[in-house]
Amino acid sequence: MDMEDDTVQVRENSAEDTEMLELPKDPAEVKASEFIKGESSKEIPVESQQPELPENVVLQSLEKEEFIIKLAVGQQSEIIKNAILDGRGENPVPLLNVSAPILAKAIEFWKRHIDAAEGEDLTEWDKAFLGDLSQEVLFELAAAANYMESKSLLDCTCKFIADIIKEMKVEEVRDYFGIECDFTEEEERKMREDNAWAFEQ
Amino acid sequence: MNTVPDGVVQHILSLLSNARDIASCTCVSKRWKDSIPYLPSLYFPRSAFDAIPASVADATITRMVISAVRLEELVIYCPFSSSSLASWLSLRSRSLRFLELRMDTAADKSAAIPNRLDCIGVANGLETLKLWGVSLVTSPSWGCFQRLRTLEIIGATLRDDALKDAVHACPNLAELALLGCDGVGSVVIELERLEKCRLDFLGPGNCSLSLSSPRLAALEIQGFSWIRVNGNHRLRSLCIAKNTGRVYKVDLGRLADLEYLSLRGVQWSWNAISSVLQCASEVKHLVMKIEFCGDFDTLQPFPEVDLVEFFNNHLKLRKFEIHGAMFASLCQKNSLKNLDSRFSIPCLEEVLITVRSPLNAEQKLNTLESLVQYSAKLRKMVIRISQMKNCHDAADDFFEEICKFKYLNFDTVRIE
Repeated sequence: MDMEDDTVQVRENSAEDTEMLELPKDPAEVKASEFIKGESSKEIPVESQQPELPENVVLQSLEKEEFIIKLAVGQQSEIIKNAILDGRGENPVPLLNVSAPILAKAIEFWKRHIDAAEGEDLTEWDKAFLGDLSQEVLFELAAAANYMESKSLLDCTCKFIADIIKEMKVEEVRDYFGIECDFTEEEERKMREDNAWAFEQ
Repeated sequence: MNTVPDGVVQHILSLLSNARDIASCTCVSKRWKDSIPYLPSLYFPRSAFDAIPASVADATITRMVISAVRLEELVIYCPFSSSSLASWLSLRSRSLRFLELRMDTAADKSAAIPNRLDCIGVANGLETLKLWGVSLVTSPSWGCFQRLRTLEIIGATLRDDALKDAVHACPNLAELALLGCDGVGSVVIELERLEKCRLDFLGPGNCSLSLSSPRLAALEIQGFSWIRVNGNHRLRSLCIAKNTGRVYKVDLGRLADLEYLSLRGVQWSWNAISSVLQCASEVKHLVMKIEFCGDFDTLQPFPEVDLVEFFNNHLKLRKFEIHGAMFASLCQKNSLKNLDSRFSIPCLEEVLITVRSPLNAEQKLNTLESLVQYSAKLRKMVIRISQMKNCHDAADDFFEEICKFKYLNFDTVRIE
């Protein structure tokens, strides 16, 4: 699917449209998180040209397990939204990279956010929801949010993880993510020296 | 091993802005180091470089600004040098949208560097600019910030002309805040797109304000003695306060859209008070906290206010906070003379009253009872009794009456 973000415009000296100004994006540099940054201008229209929009959507996980959700719930994922918009009637929507338990968690998140009252603050709920998850599930959920292009879920999971690593030392971050240090000894020494100020407690 | 896709790592890192966290993450691995250039914001807290010599601090900030090729937000609370600032802003002028600087260290103030703020002009794509503790006594040569929508200057020393020129360089401002500032005598603001304005000027001096903004919806000011707002506005929320000194004149044109009004201060001219109250006929929430009126040095109580007239002029009033001299003026001999069975206070739901003295207890009770009796929708009345001297005989009587009143209206009235 071609995912060009068509809301990017560059206008000089146009004071009226200050909100629309963006740096020109290099189309070759396509990062999934950047799709999510741009405003999606494609809301599912009330009077669409498609014959009917389904009330429910069926999602299919990696294991081919099926989940039925309301249209509004599924709209929080760009992939699901586009599958419906495209009108191919692709039902169920295949989400081959997302396992069933993770998809269930994502659906739980979307449902809670759609049901939220106007202006209701869900920060506490989000924290409790994510805090309950094991680190493995948390990472898989973040990866799934990235794959399914769900801005709300991606922002939430990443913010949660960012808050965790903020307090950590470099070694602790590596442990947490299971990352090996791939700097040479010399490189590592230089990095430490340059950034020594950040390690002062 | 937990593998997290690149997109997720980048997104996590993009949510970091504290320079320490970013510097720390740069050391984690090569892949993380490679993600740093895309980070949109850098924040250097006050104590970031406490134990480090100034030149090293500047060099570190320079290095990080150079790495962040698409820097949109730069917040620096720690000390830095002007020349370094000029180079950072030049480097990132294309992408920078949000700039917040704290420039109130002793070094900043003692150095007689003319216009350290000039270099900010090069970042002409800015949408938000916040400056703390600056000295804006000569006009900055800023050119024009076409895209600047929010300007906040806090704790600054200003001069009339310098301020005027600075605001002039930001023709498309939607939000302006000048808080805890001093040094001005006469403030003139003309902005086409201004919607929200907060001005808080210190000092007992007599400042004047002249404001003209057709889209103005919220205005909160403190420290002005003469206030003139061009009647072509859309004010819905208005707060005027003067913590020391006097308010002489307030001219606002119409206030037909005003929903929230707060008037506070030690002493206002009664003309000023009554002219504002007269215009604000549609107000839903009113806070009165003016201690005295009077046009000269003598502090005077408010003249008598007719209760019926007052509420008939403010029919939409839902919430009323009566502090200072207002309550006493509603409790004068003739305040209730126009009460009759046809009178009603249609929308009043909540009242908060501060009673300062036990004198005139009978009339005060009459007014309180009238408020309860004629307000069909009244849910809550809170009577705050503050700083009352207990040694007065009248105080005992007053308290007795007040308690009786409270018990009779226990579901509505509360005493604090």
